Amino acid sequence: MAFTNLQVDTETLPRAATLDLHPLPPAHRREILAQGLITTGIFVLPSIIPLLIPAIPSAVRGVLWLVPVLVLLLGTLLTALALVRFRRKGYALRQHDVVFRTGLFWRKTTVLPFDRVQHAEVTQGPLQRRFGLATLKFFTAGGSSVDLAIEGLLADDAERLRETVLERAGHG
Amino acid sequence: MAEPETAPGMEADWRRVSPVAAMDFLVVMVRQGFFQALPALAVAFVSAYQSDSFPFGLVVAGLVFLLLLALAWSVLSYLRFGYRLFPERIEVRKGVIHRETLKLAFDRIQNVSVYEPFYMRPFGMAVVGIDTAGSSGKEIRLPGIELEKARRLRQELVLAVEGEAHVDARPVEADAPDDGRHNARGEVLLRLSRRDVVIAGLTANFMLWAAIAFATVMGSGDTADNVISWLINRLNLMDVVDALREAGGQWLLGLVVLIMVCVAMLILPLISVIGALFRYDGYTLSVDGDRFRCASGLLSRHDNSVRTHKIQAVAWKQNAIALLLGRINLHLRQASAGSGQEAANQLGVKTQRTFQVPSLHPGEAVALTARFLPDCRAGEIRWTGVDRRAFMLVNAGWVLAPFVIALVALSLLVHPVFLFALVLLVALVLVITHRCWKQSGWAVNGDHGMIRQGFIGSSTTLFPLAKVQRIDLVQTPLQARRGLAHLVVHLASHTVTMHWMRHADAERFRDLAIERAERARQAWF
Repeated sequence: MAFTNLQVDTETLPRAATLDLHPLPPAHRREILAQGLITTGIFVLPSIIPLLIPAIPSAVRGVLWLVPVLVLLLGTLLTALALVRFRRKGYALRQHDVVFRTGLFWRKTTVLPFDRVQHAEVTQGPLQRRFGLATLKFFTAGGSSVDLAIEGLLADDAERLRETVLERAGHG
Repeated sequence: MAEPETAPGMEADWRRVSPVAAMDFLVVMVRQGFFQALPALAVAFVSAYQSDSFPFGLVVAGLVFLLLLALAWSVLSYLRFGYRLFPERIEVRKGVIHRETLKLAFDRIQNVSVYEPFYMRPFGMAVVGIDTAGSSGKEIRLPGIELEKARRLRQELVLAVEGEAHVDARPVEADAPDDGRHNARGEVLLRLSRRDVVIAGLTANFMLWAAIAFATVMGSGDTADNVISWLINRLNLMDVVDALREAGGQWLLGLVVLIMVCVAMLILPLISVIGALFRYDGYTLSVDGDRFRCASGLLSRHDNSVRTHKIQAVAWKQNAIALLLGRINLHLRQASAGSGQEAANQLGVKTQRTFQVPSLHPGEAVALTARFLPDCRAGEIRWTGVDRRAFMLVNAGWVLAPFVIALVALSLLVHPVFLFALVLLVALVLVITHRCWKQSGWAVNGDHGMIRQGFIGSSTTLFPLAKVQRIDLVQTPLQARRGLAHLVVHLASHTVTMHWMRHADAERFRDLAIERAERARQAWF
C-alpha cells in the first residue's frame, strides 16, 4: 500500500527528464575560450621569464622548459573540459519550475519550483560584460549559498528569465 | 541621536525591566568575554603555570577589576535598556556607548520563547527571547520580566503574529500550577519521567552532552573543542606521558592510558546523564492549537515552541545505545534562518534553537510524528534499499584501497603476516559496509518522503514532499551505465541525500516531490 500510491501517481506525473533543454548561447563558448586563454597566459608568461635569464645554467634551463609546457597542457585540458561541460549545460522553464542541468562527470539536474525562490539576482563579470553575458542566481530558504546559478546566459535573457520567475513566484 | 523620530513626549512610553536584568547583562557579558578570551586565557594560564613566580595577587586583582568594570557596565546597560510595544511592532533600546534602537515588526517574528535562568528564578523573573526571520539570525532578549508578564507578553506577541489579537481573551496559563513546573496550556502530549531523562542522557551523543552540561553552567555555545584543548593545556598531558615513559617504560604508559580510557568511558555517560537531568528535568510536551511547546530544565527553565507549519522535517535518531534500549530521539527541524552555518561555527553564538523530544518508545515516536506531520504514518514504512553492489564497491573500496596497497607492500617487503592483517581488515570493512548498506533506504508514504541512513543505529528523516525546496539528481557516467543516481533533497531546514538509488526511482521521487510542492502552492514557511 505504501508504495503503490507512488506507482499510480507517477504514470501521470509531469516528467522533468523528457524535457528539451535550451543550450547556452554560443557567446558563452567564446567566453570560456577567452577565459581559458587569459588564465593560461597569466600562468605561462611568468614561467617563461627564467628561460630568458642568461645567468641560469643551460642544464637547469633545459629542465625549466618543462614548466611552461606543462602549464600550457594543463590550461588546454581544463579549457577543453570546460568546453565539453558547456555542451552538457542546459536549462528549461516549465509552468511552475526551472530545470537546469550541468556537470561533466557528476551530471546534476536541478529542479527548482518558482514558489520557492526567495530572491534572484543577475550578476555580470568584466569578461561576461564584453561578451554580453550574465549569470542568473536564485536563492531559496534555508541556506546562505546560491541555490541555482545559471552561468553564461545572454544578459537580456537572464534579465527576462529573472522577471518571469519572480513574477510567477508571486514576488511581483 | 539614537531615536531621531521619537517625539519628546513619547519617551515616557519606554518600559523598564526589573533590576534583575542587570544580572543577566553581566552573565551574558562574562559568558561572551570568557569564550572570546578562552584561548588567550589558556595560553596565559599555561605560561604562568610554568613560570617560577606566579603573580597570584596581581592576577586576582586584575580579575576583580575586570569583574567590577563588567558590573558597572551591566548596571549602565540596565539603566539604558527599555522596550515598548506598538500595535504592529516592538522597539528595544539598548547600548551604553554605542546606543541603538531596534525596531521589529511583528510579522518578522519567528518564534517567542520564555526562558527562566537559574539566577532569575528566585525572583520569579524570566527572559523573553524573540527570534527574527532576518538573515542575521539575531535574537532580541528582554531580561528581567516577571514570569506571568513574560508569558502574557509571549501570548500577545504570538497572537499578534498570527493576526488574531482581538479574538483570544482567554486567561493566560490559567491552569498552571503554582510551582510553574508543569505549566502547559492545551493538551499535554508527553511527560518524561526521571527514568526517561536518564535514558535520554545515555542515548545521546556523549560529547554533545558534555558540551551541554558545560553550557548549562556557562550559558550556551558549542564549546567542547575549546574545553578539550584547554584541558590538555591545563593538565600538561605531554609532560605526564614523558614522566610515565621514564618511570616504567611503554607498558606502564599503556596501562595508565587503558585505565584512563576506562574511567572516561564511565565518566562520559555520567556527565551525559547529568547534562540530560539539567536540561530535560520535568520535560513536558504540549500542544495548543497548531503550536507545540516543550518546557524543561532543572535550574534554568527552557520553554520552546514551534508551530506545525514551521516544521520542515522530523528526524528520528537512534544510536547504538538507543537501539539497545529500544528508544528513539526525535528532532524537529525548522527552517534555518540565513547563515545558520556561519553562526554555528562561531564560539558562544547561540545556534538555531533545537526542538527535541528525547527517549521515546517506538509507538510514542510514531504517534508524535503523526502529530508533528499530519497524515504521516511512520509506523508502516516499507523501505526500499539502494543498489548493493555499487554501495559496497564504492564505500568499501575507498576505505580499503590505501590499506590494501600498504599492507600488500608490507607483506612483500617485511613479513607475510601482514597478509593475515589484510584479510582481517577486509572482512571487518565488508561487514561494516554491509551493515551500512542494510540501514540505507528510502520510502514514499502518502505525502511524505523518508530517507534513512546509519551504521548500528540509524537516522531517519521524514519530510512532507510538499515542503521540498529543490531537488538535485546527480549521476556519473558509470552510474548512468548501471542505471543509478544520487538524489539530493534540499529542505528549508537541511539537506538530505540518498545515494545509489535506482535512477528510475530517483526520477519518480523527484517528479512526485516537485509535483506535490508545486500543487500545494502553500506557504511552506
